[in-house]
Amino acid sequence: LTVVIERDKRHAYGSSAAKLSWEVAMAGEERGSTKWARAHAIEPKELEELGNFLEAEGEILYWLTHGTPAIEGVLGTVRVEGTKSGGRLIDRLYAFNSLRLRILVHPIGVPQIDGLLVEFEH
Amino acid sequence: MTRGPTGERYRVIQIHPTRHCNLTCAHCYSLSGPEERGELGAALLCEALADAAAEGYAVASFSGGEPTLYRPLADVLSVAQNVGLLTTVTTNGMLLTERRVSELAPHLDLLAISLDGKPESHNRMRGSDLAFEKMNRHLEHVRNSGIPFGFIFTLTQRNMDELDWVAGYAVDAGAALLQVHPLEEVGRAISTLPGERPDATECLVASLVVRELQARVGEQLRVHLDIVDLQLAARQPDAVYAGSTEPDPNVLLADLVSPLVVEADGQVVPLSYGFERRYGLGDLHQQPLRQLAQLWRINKRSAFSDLCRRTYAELNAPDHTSRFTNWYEDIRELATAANR
Repeated sequence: LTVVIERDKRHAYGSSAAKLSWEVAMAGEERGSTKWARAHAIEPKELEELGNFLEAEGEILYWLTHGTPAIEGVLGTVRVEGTKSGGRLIDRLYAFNSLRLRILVHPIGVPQIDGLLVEFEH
Repeated sequence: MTRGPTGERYRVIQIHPTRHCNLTCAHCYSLSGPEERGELGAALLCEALADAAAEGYAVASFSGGEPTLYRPLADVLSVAQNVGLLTTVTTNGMLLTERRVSELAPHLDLLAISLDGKPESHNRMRGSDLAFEKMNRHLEHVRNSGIPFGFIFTLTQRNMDELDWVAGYAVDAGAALLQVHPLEEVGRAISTLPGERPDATECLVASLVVRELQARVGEQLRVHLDIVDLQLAARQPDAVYAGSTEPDPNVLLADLVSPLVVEADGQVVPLSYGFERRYGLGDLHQQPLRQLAQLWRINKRSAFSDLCRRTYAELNAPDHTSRFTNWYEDIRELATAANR
């Protein structure tokens, strides 16, 4: 807010001038849910980076984004071969700024683990 | 037995012992302020508390005005506990000096502190540049006293984005409770904050955000939203006093109405401050609460039940599109409209 409310500190809202100041201060202010959604939206650039990274590291089995107009959530599953790349993949998934991912890792293969199924959700 | 909006266990008598306040908040429903001087006598209140306990109330909740400016508060809280009531006080927190907290602590089961957003938003709503700073400073005394405490956040049309911050602040402060209460256009808010009460969209999103917030903070903080999910209410009409069974006319008052509100001028009304007087019990200065309760059961209970059922029917009508609503405001508006 750029407009400072002028007021008598003891009787701030007793006067019509104070009321007018409030209206001026609030004029054009967006609804709370719009601001909330913007603050929780995923940055499109990061979403793209996530997709590119996962495609390079493994096979994306499932991918869903939700939220209109700003994307608020993404969930999906990726399969990676072997286990060595698993740690690096998870480190990278945790490194995004606007994405706070919940990650589940399932080993695949009996008796030898030959891959990982990684589920992620923001 | 009817459940009512406060549940079976926590039947609440809400007491406004004074409208005297150190602040003149923009959203104050009772138009309290520094120039308001009237207050309820301690003896009158103590008698009402004993009657309230006998009528089945379990919680005495003190608000205002600023209740910590009510000098006999500690004594009245003590009496409330002695008659078996749990005690809560809702305050702006600015006057909670170490001494005042130590006076109140032995008689207090929960302290609720108003917090209307980030410091600048809180101060703007409270009309004081020092409101947040002083409250924040005094929290230390509250924590040291060991009184369980929580925060009450007033949700407006434009501040839901600050709920995350408020929850984080509450967790860091060691609060046990965060109550989110939608702004109502009553009292000073009628003239100061027109159009600022949250609409159906804000109520809907708030319901989802609070659910997510609760899942995130877990047991550290109980987050409560004073908005009714009409789909749930449709399955539990007793929760809004709209059950099909007519309650026994001789049941305790607390089974028929909670919260019960005692205003600073001695008027006793159902549900919320300023509720339409035609549904009220009357004036404590004229008759003690036990007699007012008896007369209300005979003369007004039926009209109140009818009002609750009409409110329920309107909210569940096919043309009512929003799923989440502030029932307290809905019923108050219908009561006022019926009187026009």
